[in-house]
Amino acid sequence: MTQQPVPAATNVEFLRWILRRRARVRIRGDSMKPTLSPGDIVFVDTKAYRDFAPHDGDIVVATHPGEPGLQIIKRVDFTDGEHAYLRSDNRDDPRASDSAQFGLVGFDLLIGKVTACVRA
Amino acid sequence: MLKVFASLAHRIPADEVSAHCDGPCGVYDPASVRVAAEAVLSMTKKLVDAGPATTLEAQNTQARYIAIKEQQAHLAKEELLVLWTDYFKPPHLEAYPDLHTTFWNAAKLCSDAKVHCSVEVAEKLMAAVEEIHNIFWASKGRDDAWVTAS
Repeated sequence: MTQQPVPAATNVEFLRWILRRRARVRIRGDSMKPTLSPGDIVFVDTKAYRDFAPHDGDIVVATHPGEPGLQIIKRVDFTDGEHAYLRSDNRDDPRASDSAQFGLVGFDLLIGKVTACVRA
Repeated sequence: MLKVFASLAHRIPADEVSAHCDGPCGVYDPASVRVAAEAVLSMTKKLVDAGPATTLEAQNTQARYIAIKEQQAHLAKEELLVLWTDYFKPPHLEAYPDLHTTFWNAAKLCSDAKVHCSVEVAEKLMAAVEEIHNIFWASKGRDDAWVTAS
């Protein structure tokens, strides 16, 4: 799958954040390189999957299926209608773990869709 | 204006999301086996429901399902081996004399799930994982319910 880049945040996206239509989180770790690097800020649409299922290629923030307190950021490789298979963009990172290790992730664990980023 | 916003976005503290997810050492939970076994069952059902693939797109999709089934069955076997060899100790064997046979059979079912595309085998694997779930939590003096994601 082509790893589509995350668009840079625009003024509109910042306004959505100010109006609380977007959450804002900071990236930790290398497993989403080169798309996202440690320290990058991303905006997250937490209502994106309320009415619609995720698409292949979406970058999502999700709750780790094995560690409820851990939020992770990964790319949707494919879905089966109820679950998403999440992969890291950086397949060379030996510390990266994704659905290859923790399995399919239920849509209920998806927190939102990444819409834009601000580079570190 | 954009620079001001970007500066604000970085200066204001934000929650972190992890691109890594290293598991904590010393924490055992058969849920990791269950998640992998459920993925095997899910992929197997999809393959059986889809039937023979006649188009290139369908063949591509099924190849991906098969790859996941293979991968998750292997992961389930690895997670079983961790529980079997690291968590369970000789005193557990006294309480559960069939422990070795239970794990042996579950590991064999992981292999069967790779070799075959059988919902029956995948369901047998889930049943074996449920049995291990019950033994594991009983060994901790707990009665945690068996819950599946799907």
